[in-house]
Amino acid sequence: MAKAGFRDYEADKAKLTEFLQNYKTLDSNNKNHAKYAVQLTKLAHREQVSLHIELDDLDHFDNSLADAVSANARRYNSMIADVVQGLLPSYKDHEHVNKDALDVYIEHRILAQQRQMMMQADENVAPTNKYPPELMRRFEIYFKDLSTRKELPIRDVKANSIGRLISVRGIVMRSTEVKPMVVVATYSCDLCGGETYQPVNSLTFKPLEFCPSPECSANKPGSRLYLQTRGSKFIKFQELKIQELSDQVPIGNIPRSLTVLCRGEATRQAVPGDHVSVTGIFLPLVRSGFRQIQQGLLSDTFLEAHSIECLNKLNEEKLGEGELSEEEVLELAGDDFYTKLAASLAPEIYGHEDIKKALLLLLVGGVDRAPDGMKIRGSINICLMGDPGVAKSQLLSYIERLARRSQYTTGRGSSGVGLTAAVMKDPLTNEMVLEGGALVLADQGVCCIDEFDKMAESDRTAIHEVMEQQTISIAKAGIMTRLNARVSILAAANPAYGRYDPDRTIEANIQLPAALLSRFDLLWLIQDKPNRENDLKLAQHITYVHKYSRQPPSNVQALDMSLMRRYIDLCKKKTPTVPVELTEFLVNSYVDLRKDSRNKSDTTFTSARNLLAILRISTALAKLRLSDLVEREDVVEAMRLLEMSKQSLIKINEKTGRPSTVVDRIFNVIRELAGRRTIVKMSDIREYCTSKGFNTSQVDDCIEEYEMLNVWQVNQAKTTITFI
Amino acid sequence: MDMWTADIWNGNEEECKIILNEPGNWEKVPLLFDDKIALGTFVRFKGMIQDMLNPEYYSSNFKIINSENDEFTLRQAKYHSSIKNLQPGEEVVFGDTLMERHIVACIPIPGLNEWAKDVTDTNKNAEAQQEENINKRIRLDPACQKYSKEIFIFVYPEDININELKLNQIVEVVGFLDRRTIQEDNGDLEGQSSIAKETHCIHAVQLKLLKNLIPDNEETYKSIWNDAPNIHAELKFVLTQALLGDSLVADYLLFYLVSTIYNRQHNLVPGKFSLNIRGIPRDIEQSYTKHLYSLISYLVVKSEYLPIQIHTLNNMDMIPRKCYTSNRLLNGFLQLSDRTHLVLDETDLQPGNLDSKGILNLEALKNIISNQQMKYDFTYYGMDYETQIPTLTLSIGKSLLPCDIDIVLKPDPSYSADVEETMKSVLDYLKSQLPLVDKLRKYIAIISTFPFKYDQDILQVIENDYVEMRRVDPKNVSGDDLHIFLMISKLIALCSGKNEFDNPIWESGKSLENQRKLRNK
Repeated sequence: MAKAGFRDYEADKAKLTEFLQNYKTLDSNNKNHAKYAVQLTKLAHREQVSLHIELDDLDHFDNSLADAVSANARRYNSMIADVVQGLLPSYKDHEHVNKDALDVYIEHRILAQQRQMMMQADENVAPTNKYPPELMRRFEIYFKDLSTRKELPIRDVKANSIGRLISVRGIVMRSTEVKPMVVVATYSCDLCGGETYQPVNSLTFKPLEFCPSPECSANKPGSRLYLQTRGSKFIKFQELKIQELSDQVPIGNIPRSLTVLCRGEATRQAVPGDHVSVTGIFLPLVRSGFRQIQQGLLSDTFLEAHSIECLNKLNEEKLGEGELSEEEVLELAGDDFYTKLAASLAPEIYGHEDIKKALLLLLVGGVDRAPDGMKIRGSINICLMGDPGVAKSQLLSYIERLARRSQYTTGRGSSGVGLTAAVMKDPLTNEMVLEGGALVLADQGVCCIDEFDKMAESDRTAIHEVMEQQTISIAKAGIMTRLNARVSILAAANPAYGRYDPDRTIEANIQLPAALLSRFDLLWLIQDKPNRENDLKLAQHITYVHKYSRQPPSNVQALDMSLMRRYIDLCKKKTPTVPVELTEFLVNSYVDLRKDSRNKSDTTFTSARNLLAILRISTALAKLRLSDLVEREDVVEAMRLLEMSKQSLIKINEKTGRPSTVVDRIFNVIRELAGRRTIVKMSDIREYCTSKGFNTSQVDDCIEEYEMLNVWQVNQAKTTITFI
Repeated sequence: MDMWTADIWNGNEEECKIILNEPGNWEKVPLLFDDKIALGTFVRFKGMIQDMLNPEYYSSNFKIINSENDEFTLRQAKYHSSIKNLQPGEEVVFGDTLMERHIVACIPIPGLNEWAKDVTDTNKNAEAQQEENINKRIRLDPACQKYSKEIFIFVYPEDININELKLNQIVEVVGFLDRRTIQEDNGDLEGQSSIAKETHCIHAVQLKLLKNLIPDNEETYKSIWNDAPNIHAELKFVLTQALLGDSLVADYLLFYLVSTIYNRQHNLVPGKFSLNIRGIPRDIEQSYTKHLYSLISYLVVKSEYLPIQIHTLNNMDMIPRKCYTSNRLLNGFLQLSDRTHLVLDETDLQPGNLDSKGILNLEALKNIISNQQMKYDFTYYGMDYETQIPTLTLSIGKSLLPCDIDIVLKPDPSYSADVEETMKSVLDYLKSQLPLVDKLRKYIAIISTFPFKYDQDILQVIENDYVEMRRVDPKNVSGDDLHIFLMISKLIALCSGKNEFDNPIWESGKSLENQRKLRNK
């Protein structure tokens, strides 16, 4: 604290003067720039109100001074104010144009005083009759903390921070209206007509009662002082209450709060619900008079705000927990970091590696593109389907906890606001306000929707828009607007008939329209099937948990959640591009995919949306590697994930004894070609099947096999087949 | 010790600590509310941490200056909240050093059963007693959420490690009694309109975290452990009677009573045992569930009974909510300390509409049952708090709420004659055998906390068994079942005083589960 070493304040004052006048930085054009001197000129001309002193600059200038300032900020603040006030006249090169009431008032007083001085030159003017410097002060001095200084959690603001300049982060819970607060109270005496000034530094003040002028105090005539509002100086004042963010609160504790007092230019910076970062001086609240006695030994504290920064989505990265350290980067590095990261997702859920990989990519996301006003989303949407009890909800809730911005909701809509938005009445102002639902609140984040299939009809229509356009249009109660909802949707759906019925299509099973399902980049069916190897592994996993009360050591150590978060933040900053030479490969892959899907009696669909999905997933993979270019391997992996997700849907067929062999698929192709005709030309069949990617011998096999089954007959010349 | 004051403690801290920590002395400190106690004296208080307020700062010392003779005395402000006995002509000058202290709001332990309250004092304050009864009743009323017997405890970080304190813990403190107005600030710093409420507060000198309310000594543990098979048989007998002769359900109810969560990993909470007894016969007396609850409350230390009805769900404040006008966490019904047995009675549920509050309440209950955690409402965000509330749902058909294990009650035909009579006789039997009851209570409180060993060989058997079960019936056997198998086997072993897993135990666990599944079909 400042007490530790006594500082020579006079010397500091001289140093500060020099600093303000002469400190130079390099500006963007690499020219020397007298940063503060320029601002002083502006202050002198009343073109600027607040002067932000950056401690970085001061530290650069004289580091012991910067430390002293941050340890005893209040005192240095008023010292700098004095210095600046002293300097201003020398920076003034022209008279400012607009005079306000206070200027006129002061001018009058100065004239009157001069007249009085001439009349009674021998008498001393009472000290209080001097104008306090605050009265004429038109500027405000604010400090900006060192950029190296970490923001403290509110919990760590303790008694030893008192008097210091600190930065904290929190969420605004309440704010008062902006009110005027008196800085200098001016009184006039009803007897001698003299004026008295009272600078006010605390929140409350005791009005002066007796006129201190020599004649009144000598005669004690019982004169009264009257407060002159016109001659007093007021400043904007607002009180905020901020509360710890939920991730700063240790488990099992209640979030703490802090009172922030804002004056002047620091007011009106935040509204309740905002995430803010506040720099200010932590001070005890000085109370005087009766309250002090009543209060006894306690002292309230507050933070006198110097700068308030709203951490909205514009500068989301500021919400992060900081950069990765060297060791952490090492911990992440390695060939298998992709597997490692994926395995660290929901480590308590056993298996499902590919799904976890997909979820990891969902967190990272692709890149938004907007060529020529067209908008292509970058966020990845995933839908998990499956029988009840296959850890879908656990996966969702894990992702919700991991993602920085996330919302968890169920399709039924747990609150009145629901998924999209609602018009609500503000209890404070009785104004109608638009309140965002889960999708809006999760903007630029992840929205986890459980029981997706049970969604209300109105939400379902809204979700179409969200999933492609990434906006929500609202026309309610006279409010027409479009809100951003740049979300990745992670949905979980239960089959309509309790269990997934393999004989039906996905749409029928999940009871969602194909239009909606196609908007998901990946659809995943999690199925519960007996498998000796997997069952044994799971059993070993569970018995281990019971035996040792912890997770079994796997070959990949699960990473810490905060580390994951920071790594994902880092990934999100990248915007990789697809190099030209890869486009052909991509196009070919897509064409193959289309071909495949036509040949298979597929329950899924392959559309242009799949191509976009591949693009998005491979971009996300590149981001995950922190690379600026998408590589061939990324595309291959993306294709693999897509294939696996399809496999998860197709596998059902095998189980129910309807293996979709090549022969079967060709048969279906031929049926398709035949349509209603009963006779089909062999040459047509050959041509059509080849275009679907089957070779001639396979086609021949098929024809032979089905002939044996008496499905069709082949004519002698083998030129046509006839369906029976 | 009776004469100790804060100033004496400040002066002779070391000696006082030694005296206090001599065996038996701690218990001699008078309990707040049991006796009439003067302000400033040394007291003891037991309660649950309901809220944690912002820390406050106080000047560590101050001078009292007598303006007449300019003499001054230097005083310490620790363990004081205001300056008393200031004579006319004396002035106070505060020191510059500001110290920090934390304020913890405590309430009497919710759900604490009558028998578990400290019975040492016979001269119980009748008035306080009455107040307590009112409290239990009023808790259903949303308007009255504040306990009148709320106590603020000042915790000094240099004496007590405040990081150990968590919400909903049971603590016992000794310290100096004081009264203070705690400002319910409502926005204005001037606070003129604030509701100043005078409340008791204690300046804590020492604090203990209580895991369970059973006296913590080696002797008790040993005797219970050695006698476990007998106590188990007795307890099962009593429960079988109470469950109208159904011994299978009695087994499960017994497990429910003794179970503890022994581990927690994200969403996986091994040891959690939420039970649903369904098929409570419709034709037996309405009051059966209440009788059953009164039996449970006679055996466990803390319990709460909650009828699941449209009305209660829609109107009750279950979820603790932060109120920003009073800057306090408002107590909700579900803010319960660890191992408070919650009995949810669904038998009287009628069809009706749930409003949004009802849905939130239901979600909260579901969250407790399936994840043992709860989201407290902080308006701008919710915060998850871990809970350990074993739940028992009593329902006629399949319950609305989830559960780990459900079982159908099959009363023995010979019992259903007079339910009231049966239940009464069970309670009377217990009341006539107080030493037995005492054993049963201790047994329930501690039996599942004994250490337990797993042998690798038996685990291998289990693993292979599981794979085989999956092969035979993949639809009905999943990883969750294996969790339950293991948990039940462990409870079977511990309940009968065995701390090792062996083959017979595994087999008996399996057969118990098979019986249950067979019955549920």
